[in-house]
Amino acid sequence: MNPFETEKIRLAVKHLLESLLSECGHTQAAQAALLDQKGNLVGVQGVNPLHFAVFESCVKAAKGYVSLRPEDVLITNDPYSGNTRLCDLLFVRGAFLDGELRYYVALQISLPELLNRDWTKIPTSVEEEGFRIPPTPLGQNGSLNPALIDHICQSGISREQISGLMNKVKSILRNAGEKVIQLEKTSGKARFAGHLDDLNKYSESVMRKSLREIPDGEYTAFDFIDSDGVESENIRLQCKLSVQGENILLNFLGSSKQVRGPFNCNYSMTLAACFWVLRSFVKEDIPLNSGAFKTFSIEAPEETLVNPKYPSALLGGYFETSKRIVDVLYLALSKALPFEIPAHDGGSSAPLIFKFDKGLFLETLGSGSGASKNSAGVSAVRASLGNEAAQSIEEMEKTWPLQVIHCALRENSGGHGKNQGGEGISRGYQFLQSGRMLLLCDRRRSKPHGLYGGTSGLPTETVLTKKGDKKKTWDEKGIVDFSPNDTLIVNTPGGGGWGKVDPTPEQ
Amino acid sequence: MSWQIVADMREMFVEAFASNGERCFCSRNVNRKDHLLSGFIEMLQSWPEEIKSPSTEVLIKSDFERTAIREQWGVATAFLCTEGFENLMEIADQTRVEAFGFHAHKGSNLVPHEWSIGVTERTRADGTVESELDDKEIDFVISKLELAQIKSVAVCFLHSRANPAHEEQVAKKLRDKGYFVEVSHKYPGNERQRAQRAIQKAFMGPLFEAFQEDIVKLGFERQKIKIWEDGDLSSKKDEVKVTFLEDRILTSLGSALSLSGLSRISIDSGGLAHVGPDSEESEPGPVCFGKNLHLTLLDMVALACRLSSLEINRLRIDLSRVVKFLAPLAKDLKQTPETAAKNFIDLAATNMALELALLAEKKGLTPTSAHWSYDGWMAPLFGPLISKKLGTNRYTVASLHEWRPLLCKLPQIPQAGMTVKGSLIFEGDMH
Repeated sequence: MNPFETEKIRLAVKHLLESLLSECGHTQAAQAALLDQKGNLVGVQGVNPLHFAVFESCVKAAKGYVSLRPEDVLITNDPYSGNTRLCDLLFVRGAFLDGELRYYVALQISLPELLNRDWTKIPTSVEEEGFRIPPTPLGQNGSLNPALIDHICQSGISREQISGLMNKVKSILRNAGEKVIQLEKTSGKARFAGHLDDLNKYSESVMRKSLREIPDGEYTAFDFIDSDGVESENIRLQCKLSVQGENILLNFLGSSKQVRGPFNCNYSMTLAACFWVLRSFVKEDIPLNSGAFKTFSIEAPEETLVNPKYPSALLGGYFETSKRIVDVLYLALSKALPFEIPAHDGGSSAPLIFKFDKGLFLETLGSGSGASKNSAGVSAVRASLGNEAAQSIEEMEKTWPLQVIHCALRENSGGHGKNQGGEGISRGYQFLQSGRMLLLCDRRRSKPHGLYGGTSGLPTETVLTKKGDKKKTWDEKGIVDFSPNDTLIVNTPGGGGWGKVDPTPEQ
Repeated sequence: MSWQIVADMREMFVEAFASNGERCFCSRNVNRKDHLLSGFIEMLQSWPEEIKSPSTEVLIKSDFERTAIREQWGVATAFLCTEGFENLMEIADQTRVEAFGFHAHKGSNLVPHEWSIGVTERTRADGTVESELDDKEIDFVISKLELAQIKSVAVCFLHSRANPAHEEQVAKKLRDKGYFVEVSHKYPGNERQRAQRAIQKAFMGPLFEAFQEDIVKLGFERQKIKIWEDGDLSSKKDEVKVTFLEDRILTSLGSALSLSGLSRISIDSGGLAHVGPDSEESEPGPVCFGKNLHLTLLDMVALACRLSSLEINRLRIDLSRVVKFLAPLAKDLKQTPETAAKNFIDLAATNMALELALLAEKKGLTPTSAHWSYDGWMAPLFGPLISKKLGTNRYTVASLHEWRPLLCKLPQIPQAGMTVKGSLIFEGDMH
């Protein structure tokens, strides 16, 4: 590998994807990726690491449906074709040179409007969660597919908005495709392919070196999702981490069967959560390519919580079960590397979906991060998976018929210990219009674990006050109607504490 | 034409030009972090007295604000906000700095938790007032600030862009008591962005006022002094007209870009070369200045261009120390230290060119339709290198004349300003 020339190609790919995101304009809710002609990931950019793992599986699934021609753009939002969730539209276009498909450029944009607006009960199938679009061509001969547009418009998005978005995406993907072909031409086909291969090997070798920190052995841990919103039983999530030299296997045998409520985690999300934890061992800014994903394997039995079968419901799995996978892996790793792994993060994104007359508002909140041997946890942060910027209070109040009463750190919610867990958030909403909300927040019964004598963080709490009634702690997942002047207070979990508090001399 | 001075002030160097359209003076001097005008004052002493006139326009470009915020040099500042939102800046946008890693990190705050004070008031999204300010409460808050010897206050109430009345009311009371006050409704953006901006300005404002006062004491008119920050904090950095440069400053190396002379160079554990993103502070500075242990881009420039102590007066350049530090790394690369240094320079230029191409796109330009203007002491080296990578010869290099011959020793670098159409460099005969 030429350390300088290969680095230049890494930078060029990174800037190409940054440019694509910048042109798209949805920089806080978009991811972009470049893949080679076999559908192997070359690089990915964006804000949300939970979405980085889906491009390879989506493109490979899409290849099975359609064979791309030079002007084709494919669209999908289908979690059963490797995507994240129904409100994330993923577009794929081929970059061709002399009629040969050389690369795929892909862009994923989040549009909460794509979720179903007419819930009467907690969804029990993916089809009840919103409009599912398996990989489909956007149109033919330069025009958009009217049946597809009609289908998407049923979600409440206007024809102009969706047509505008799709035409824009077509144009920016074309530009990105031209740029990558130009990059290949400038470097020379064979040399460019060589650099990409070097970058794959580089990411793989750096990640493998970092993972050598985990000693050989088998480390099993489990945790629970409180309920699936349909049945009230705890749902078990278990993982055995086996390390044998360079072979790392994450085996989820022992996890619950798939559940009826929307807390199943599709395989792409399971992969994303596992990757996030293992990638966190790496200090270097490695490109996220197929080489990095080669460093471990996952055994996720079919029809279980971590690899459900169509049409299992998935929305809460995206937000909450994926976080619990991180928690289980933290526990397993803390057995492998005692004292080196932090206590649990809050373990919930506190997902709330408000339905008003004008549409759906999807809100998530940060929590406290877990304390570790050398430092306290951080307060009010996207602690592990998911790193999108929270919407501003002013923008929220301008757009939706609600007012935020307060937004503060949730005092004393972080677990105690030698090092204190980070504090969660307390946010109060007053509704100005009637509507309905879907509460998917987990970590209500179970708490974010402390480690080595540190205590647990406080769990999630949601308190609803109906006008004229007393406060009511709403301790289940589900659907709740609200009226004007009702208030909702959401308290997100604190992170776990780390280590026993040193006894005072008197003690 | 009156005199115009353009000074580029950094913690380590100050470079300045003065021109009245007929004559021009250019100087470079070493600066001191504990007296940021020291280099400039010495420089003025060597120039004709007539330049120090009240009619002289003084344009000062610096990165002091950015550095001061990073290194927290500011004054004790309080933050007044709508009650219930005292943790606005601690919560911020809830994102972590790095996407991966077991330990989440968030940006630091300039105002400690205890000096974020909630005030009873509420304005709705449409600008109507739901809850009025209470004068007595504001008086009580001011008495608390007095006790704590707070000097400066940032005020950010929700929806103050829709209705700034409450912010103005509080600001007046505070100003009447002698506080430096920065209100958020002056700035665009949402409450977090405005609050951050107001806090930064309040944190640095009193120091900048004192800095400006010191410049006035040198004999210049207050209204004729313009200080602009070339970091992210200034909105007008691109618009300041430097009349005698025939072109306006479009970008500035080391400020619009994530790389600077103090960016670290390295080969990582996987064998890939990097310039940045980590960088050194001005103290201890680069390896060639004799203290630091981490090689920087400036060290590569010093070695590749064989800069010597004689050529950069008053700054000791120890090239043997650079060679000593670079040798093991160069050996691993199977290159001489000089070749490795040139390769790192070329890598840095590639990175800067990619960043500038992105910047051009964001401004609706292309790399070849933009006119690039490079300033700073390394501009004669990097300006032509970057432009070549961008595929354009539409660029201007503004730098002191003596840097050019030093930095153009590298064979692959075109003779900046001499052979490239459209470029401009100050020449020795302009003295």
